[in-house]
Amino acid sequence: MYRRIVRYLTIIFFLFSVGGTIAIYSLSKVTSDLKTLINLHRVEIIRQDLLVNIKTVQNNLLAIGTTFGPELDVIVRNVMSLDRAAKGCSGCHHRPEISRRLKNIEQSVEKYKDALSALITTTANPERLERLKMVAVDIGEYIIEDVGDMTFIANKILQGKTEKALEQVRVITFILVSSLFLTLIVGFIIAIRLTRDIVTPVQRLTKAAKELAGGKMGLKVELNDPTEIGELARTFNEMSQSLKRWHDSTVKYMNRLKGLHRFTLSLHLVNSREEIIREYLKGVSEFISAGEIILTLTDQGGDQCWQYNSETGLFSCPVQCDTEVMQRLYESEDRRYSRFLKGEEPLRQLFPARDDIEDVYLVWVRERDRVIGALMLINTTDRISDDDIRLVMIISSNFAVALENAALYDSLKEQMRRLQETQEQLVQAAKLAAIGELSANIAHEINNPLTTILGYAELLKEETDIESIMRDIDIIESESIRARDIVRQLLEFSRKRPLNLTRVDINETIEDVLRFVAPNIKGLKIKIEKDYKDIPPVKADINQLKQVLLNVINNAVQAMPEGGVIGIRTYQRDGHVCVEVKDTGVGIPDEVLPRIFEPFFTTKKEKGTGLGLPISYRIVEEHGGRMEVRSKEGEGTMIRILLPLKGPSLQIFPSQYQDQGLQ
Amino acid sequence: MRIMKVILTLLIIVAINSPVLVRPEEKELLIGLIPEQNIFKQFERYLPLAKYIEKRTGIKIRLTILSRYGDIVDRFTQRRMDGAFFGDLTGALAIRKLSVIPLVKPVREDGSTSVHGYIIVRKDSGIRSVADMKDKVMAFVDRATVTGYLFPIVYLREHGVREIDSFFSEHYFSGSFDASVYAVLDGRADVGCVKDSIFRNLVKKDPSIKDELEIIAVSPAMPESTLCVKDDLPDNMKKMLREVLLNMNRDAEGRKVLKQMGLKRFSEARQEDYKPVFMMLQSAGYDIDTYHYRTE
Repeated sequence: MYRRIVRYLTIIFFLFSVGGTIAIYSLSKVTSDLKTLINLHRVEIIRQDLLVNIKTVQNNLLAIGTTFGPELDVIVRNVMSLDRAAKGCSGCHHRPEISRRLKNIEQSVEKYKDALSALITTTANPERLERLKMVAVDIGEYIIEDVGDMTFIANKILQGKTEKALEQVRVITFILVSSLFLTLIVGFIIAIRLTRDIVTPVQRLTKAAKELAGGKMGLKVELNDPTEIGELARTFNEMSQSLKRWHDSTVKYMNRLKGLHRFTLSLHLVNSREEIIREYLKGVSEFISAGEIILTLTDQGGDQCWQYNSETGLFSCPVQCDTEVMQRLYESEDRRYSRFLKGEEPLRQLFPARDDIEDVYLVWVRERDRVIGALMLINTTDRISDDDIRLVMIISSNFAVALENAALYDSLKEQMRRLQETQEQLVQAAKLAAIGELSANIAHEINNPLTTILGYAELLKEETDIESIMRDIDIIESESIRARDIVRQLLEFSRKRPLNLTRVDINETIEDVLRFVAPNIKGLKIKIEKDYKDIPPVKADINQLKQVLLNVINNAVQAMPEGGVIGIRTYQRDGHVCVEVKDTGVGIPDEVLPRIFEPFFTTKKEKGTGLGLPISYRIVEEHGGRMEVRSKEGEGTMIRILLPLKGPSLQIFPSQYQDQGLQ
Repeated sequence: MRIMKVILTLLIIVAINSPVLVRPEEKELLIGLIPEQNIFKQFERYLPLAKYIEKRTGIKIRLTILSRYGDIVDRFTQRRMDGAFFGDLTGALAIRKLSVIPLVKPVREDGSTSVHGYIIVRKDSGIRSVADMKDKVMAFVDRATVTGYLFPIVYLREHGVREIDSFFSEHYFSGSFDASVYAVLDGRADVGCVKDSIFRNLVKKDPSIKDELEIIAVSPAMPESTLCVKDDLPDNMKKMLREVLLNMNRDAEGRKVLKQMGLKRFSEARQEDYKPVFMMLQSAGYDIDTYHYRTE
């Protein structure tokens, strides 16, 4: 196409050049003639200048010596003008006859100047002066005649030259118009031809490119054009084919990835070893076209090998295999895979009884670095590509992991079952132990008053006076009341009362409790330090909450028999209202601290029942809160009660003691 | 407004403190020329020089030429000339009568700064001595020249001719040296006088002149045409003119003008240059103050 365009442009250039050359040649001729015309016209100008100036000087000359004679400077100026007029065209290229006359005039003007100068400067008698004047006048007249002759000749030449120039201008116009018209016609034809040669193929290519962009891979544009356009079409076809190949390859690769994803997913969704093997063989069959696919796999113990065949479905049969041989092969060969051809030693060892096998690909199945089996691709019809092998290796690795996971899963299930059994046994034992301990505590607590009652009942039989009898009866009564109180508190602990929730101001509630406690601590050298923050009310059962606070404050008082400081602090933190009661009492030993919320556990001997803190703990828990204890022996104890601002949740969870069967 | 006042004040201070300078562009100098040769050629000869001075100094130079040598002395003041290229005798007269000072004088291409006067005859005239000139036609140049009048008179006196009116059949004044030469060549006169610089120029243009003419006598060296200016011209202007003319051979344009004039350069002129003129007058028995220089 490039050559064609160059050819066309050369034609246009040639036409322009021919027309232009003729026009330039003609123009140069006309210009030359025009220059001649201009020169001839200049002769006319010279004529006018000369005539005007010489007549002026002649007049000056005639007036010299008269009253009207001009100043010498004026004459000099006029003569200088005449001189300039005579020499004005000395460099012009006139025809010889004109130039000759111009030269004559120039020489005459020189003589005229000499004569004039002589006349002006001479001082002599009048005759001599008159002679000098006449010489000058004659020269002046001669110049006027010469100018007339020159003008006549110039006009004659001018006329001829003008006619010739006009004729040449007409010829040039004709040549220029003709060449322009011819160039236009040729240019138009070339433009149409070029448009057809370039635009049509480009349109076809554009259309094909759009279709290609729309997904029509492998599209071909047939153009029998030897030019660059044809080359472009061929390149386009190659690009289209290349794109198709890449597209097909990418689709294939994507399908493989999708298959691999699907396969991997299904492989890890099943837990049974047999199902995993079935999925594995199915997956390999999908990806690889082999005559026969056999999986040889050691069992979980690694003692026995089993073979699975994809052709006959999932079946297994124990086979003899030497795992050491497999491991050696794996380590000696390329660790990715091995390929054995018919007649090779490894193939004879693997299939001693079969001679129909042409070649075998052996892809190893490994758990970490231990070979647990091999996948044999027998009698492959096509050479298996590296990509295929890589895929089978990935599948095999996933297969091995799935097998390991399945084994681990089975093992985990077994361990979980055993753990559950052990837990159940432990819970049962703990329940029995707790019941035993509780029973022992109850028995101990009840037994004391009962022993007293029984003793005094025995005494009562032997008592005779009424005072002794009444005293014994009083003791029996008081012990009976004690036993009843123990039972009542036990019932209180175990009974679940519904919460009567109201909006409770904790600071006020603490003040109420302190007022109630105040008589008890009077005279005990106990100082109470309060630090109440501005806290919002909480939803709580005010009576139960008072019971908790009373219990905690009483414990603090009892921990300081020698007096001390009880610090009570309220504040808000993490969505809870906190109440801290801190004493400077004896503190709780570390070994006792974990047990203070156990029922019947007390360090106060006969003074306590061991149910105060457990009951408080349960109440706070029922409100959705918790209790925390910090204590150091000899320094004091701090109990923190945390109640949720939003109040207790609707569901009341049973306490840990209820879980232990206390209810 | 305040700024305007400050600017005006500054301008006034600058104007008051500026030296009184002649602004060249506002001045025009009128320079006179004597008709030592064809007046048109003389005028053309000095025009490039005038333009050169204008260009270098900014002073407009106007040339004026006079038809008689003596007119330069008479009309210098009348026509308010600022200076003139005076000849030998006119220069001496101007220094004496017009209070002008010589500024520069030309140095010809051969290095000479003075001229000699020739008395010439045609070779075919048969005139070889003063005696042969008896009853012939004499073409002087002008009474106001040494080389064109005074020297021939002194020469004739030295050879016994006291009365020229009776000695020559006719004598007249051609007004210029070349006219005197052409008068002898054309036969309009038998004896003529010319100064060597003009004679050389004529021979240069037409070498046959040398073959046709005979030089009978040669005068002592006389000063060449010298530019003299009025003494009352501003000093800086005189200085500027002198500097420009003295240095014009140092630039290409100046050298071109000098070449056109047939000169090498200009050199400084002094009144002493006119000493030969005064001596010539004295030897001729003339007093410069009473010398009748007008040609009538």
